[in-house]
Amino acid sequence: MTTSTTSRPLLEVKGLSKRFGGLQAVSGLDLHVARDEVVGLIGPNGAGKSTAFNLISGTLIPTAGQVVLEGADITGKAPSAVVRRGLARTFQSTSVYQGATVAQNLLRGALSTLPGSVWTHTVTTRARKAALQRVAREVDEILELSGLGPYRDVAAGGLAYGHQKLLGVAIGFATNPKILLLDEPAAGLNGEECAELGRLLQRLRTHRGISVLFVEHHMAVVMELCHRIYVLVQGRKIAEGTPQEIQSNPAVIEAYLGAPDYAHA
Amino acid sequence: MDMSKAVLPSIPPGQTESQSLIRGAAAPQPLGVVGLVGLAGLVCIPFLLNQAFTYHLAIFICINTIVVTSLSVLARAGQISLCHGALAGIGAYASVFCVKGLGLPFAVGIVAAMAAAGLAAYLLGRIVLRLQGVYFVLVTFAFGELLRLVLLEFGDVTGGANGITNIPPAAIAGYVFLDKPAFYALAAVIAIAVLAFFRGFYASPAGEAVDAVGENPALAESSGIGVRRTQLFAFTLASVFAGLGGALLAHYVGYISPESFNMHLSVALIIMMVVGGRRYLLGGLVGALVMTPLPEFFRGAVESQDILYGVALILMLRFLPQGLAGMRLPRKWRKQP
Amino acid sequence: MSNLLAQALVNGVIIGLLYLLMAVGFTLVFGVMRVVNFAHGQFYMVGAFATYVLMSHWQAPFLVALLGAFVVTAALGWLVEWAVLKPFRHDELNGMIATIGVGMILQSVALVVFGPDSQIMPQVAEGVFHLGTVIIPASRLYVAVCSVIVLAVLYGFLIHTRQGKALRAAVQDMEIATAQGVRAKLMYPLGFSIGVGLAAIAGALMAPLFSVSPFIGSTPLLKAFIVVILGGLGSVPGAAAASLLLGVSESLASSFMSNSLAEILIFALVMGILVLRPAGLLGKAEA
Repeated sequence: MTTSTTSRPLLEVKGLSKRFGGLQAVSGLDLHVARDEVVGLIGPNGAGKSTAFNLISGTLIPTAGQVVLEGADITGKAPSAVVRRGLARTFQSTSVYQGATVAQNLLRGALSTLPGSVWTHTVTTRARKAALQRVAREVDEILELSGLGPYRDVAAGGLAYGHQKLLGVAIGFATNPKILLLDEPAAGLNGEECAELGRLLQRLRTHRGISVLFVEHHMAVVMELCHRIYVLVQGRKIAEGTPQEIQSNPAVIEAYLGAPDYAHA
Repeated sequence: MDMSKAVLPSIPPGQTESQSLIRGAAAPQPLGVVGLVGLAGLVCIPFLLNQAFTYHLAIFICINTIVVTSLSVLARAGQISLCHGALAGIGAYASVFCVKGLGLPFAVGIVAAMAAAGLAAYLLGRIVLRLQGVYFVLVTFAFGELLRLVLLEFGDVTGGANGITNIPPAAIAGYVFLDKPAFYALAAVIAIAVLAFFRGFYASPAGEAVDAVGENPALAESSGIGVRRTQLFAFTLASVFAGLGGALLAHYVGYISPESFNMHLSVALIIMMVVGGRRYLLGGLVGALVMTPLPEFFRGAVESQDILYGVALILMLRFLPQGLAGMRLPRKWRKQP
Repeated sequence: MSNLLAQALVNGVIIGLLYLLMAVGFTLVFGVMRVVNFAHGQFYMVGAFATYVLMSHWQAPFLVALLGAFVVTAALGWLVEWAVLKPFRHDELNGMIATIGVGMILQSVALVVFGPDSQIMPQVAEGVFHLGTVIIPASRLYVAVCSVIVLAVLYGFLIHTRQGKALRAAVQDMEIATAQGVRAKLMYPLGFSIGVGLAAIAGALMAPLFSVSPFIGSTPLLKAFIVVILGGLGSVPGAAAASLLLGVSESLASSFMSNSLAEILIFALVMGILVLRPAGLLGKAEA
């Protein structure tokens, strides 16, 4: 799949920084993601990757820097507002609505795509009925794509760990984002489940062209799926490039790929 | 509620109920014959017994059902309000002001009550929901106390500590609900209408958002459901119905005072909600049914009654956090898990 | 006129110190347990009654009664945390509602045991001091001095002792603290008992100034809430600033208008501050 380098990137992050008291968690981060691109963000533990995610998605407010989505500045906006603009993220720990069914989980993910707001959603108009039907169809589609169809009416808390992670990704996808930020989607998954995750991402991207930015430690997953990779060490970007470039970059190898805390491709 | 239940075509003939639960049905499920008959029977009991005191209790049960069910909406969104009684009081005083003070019809008073309570909640929520969630309960507590002081202090308008007496009874299109059976009929109809409203509400996207926010606020926020916005909405909605309950109370009892809507009432409402069950549509009804008649058994020992309430509250939270309604009601009476 | 203001200022500071005691205890409980302790005011009442009983029935001198009140209430707090609140350690919403139940039980028990009437306590100290034109009754000065000493002791405990440091770590982040060896099982009851113990001290200090009844707990709870709303929950400097501000404002306002009107005005002021500065006085409250 080709990436477009001539048109404006979908997501641009410029000079992003976050300071916690005396600790500089992220410092001067520049990255961008183009349409239909899959970009990886790797680095050792404590490199600031999750913090960077939190800054981009609005969970944390940056000390400095800018986050621009489709040309619009979304720096510091509340996460729910950012989602409505088209950027969604998932969490490291499996994050689903434990007590709700799988279908309900997806429905809740899709709620923000309905026109109007919670103030107007009590009343059902004809336009809203049509929107609800669309949402129901999309929920069905995502169930099919993710392979969770058989579990449609099972409470999410009862799913196996691997399936819960898939559901987490699916909920993010249900928000109809232009770009999806995945925070260690492969954590805790075995080889087969990782492969399934990779296939799911492929299917999702074929179904509706979205970009993906993800943080991962599983090098196999990263090298296979990403068009480009950024490497973060102690809050700073030390390298960016294609998987081949990164794998042969001496600075990266010294700082990270040579370190024991990752899964070798 | 599975959204597909609300929009997919109705059950093909020949499918059983459980199959339809899986594939989806046309609308929020009908209560079921057993449920409806049970509810109808419950409603009729006071008429059958035909005693003044039973009507009196039943009216309070209806009003409590309305107010506690509305409190549950906010609880399901993950917040607790310690000023729900005070907001009912705002509704009561607003209605009395319109009906007794301005001579407007009872229906106008009711609308004014709901609007006043809703507006007060909205303004309060707008201010305080910008902060971390925990501040909400602190501010509602303070607001409850302060409202009592306001009602006491501005006696020229509110009647002060003496309260307001001779409140006109409820009247619709010329018919005056003077006696207890008549008012009970009115209260029961309104209570059932409120329950029906909430049934539809919880099946709607708004209700789904409320439940999402209550169950996992971090996930809700990061999938586009604004937590603060949804909680503000839930708070306003809950308070609108608190105002309704307060107005009904005023026009039934005929007398209100600042002490009618103090912290004690707000706490009692919370206890009813916990006992009945937050997550169940009929939880408010169950809580009101169980708790409303209780003070009657305490005639002799008023001081110790709060000990029992406190213990009951703690035991319920510990051992039956889903409330009595979560215990044994048949599946189709409950909101879907 | 300036005399009136000066008098109100001094009175306000003294009351502010008591509010600070309440607020710090409340904040400590919240910091450790993430639970809004609705029973906090009732522990204040327990402290007051303990002091009353120790002084009236056992003829204990005031300072002994004060210490006794702290010990009794802290022990009661430990018991309550273990017996009632332990199941809610990770369930904040229900834990908060449970504290409402605890408060109800405490007040009712006091009502049953002592009856509804107010008890008057013997005076703690006689005479008055003069600070320029300002009159400070010795009993109030006592309150101020004791509050400062208690706060200093608390400070010493939290900063310099092992358990105090563990407690502070637990307040910051229980997960990280446990990972570093702090025993959560100890922190919860410790935090709770010290927190409510502070409320008891406030009650004990107030008891000789006003009367003691089962109903004296609600107002201090409200004051604690207002202080942490203004100052930010979890911020001690914020609580200090807010409690002094609250005490002085109340004192000043009461010189010119009725108490209830003063309270209403102050609540309106707090709401106004929240509108203009959503993060509270010191910027700790933002969502």
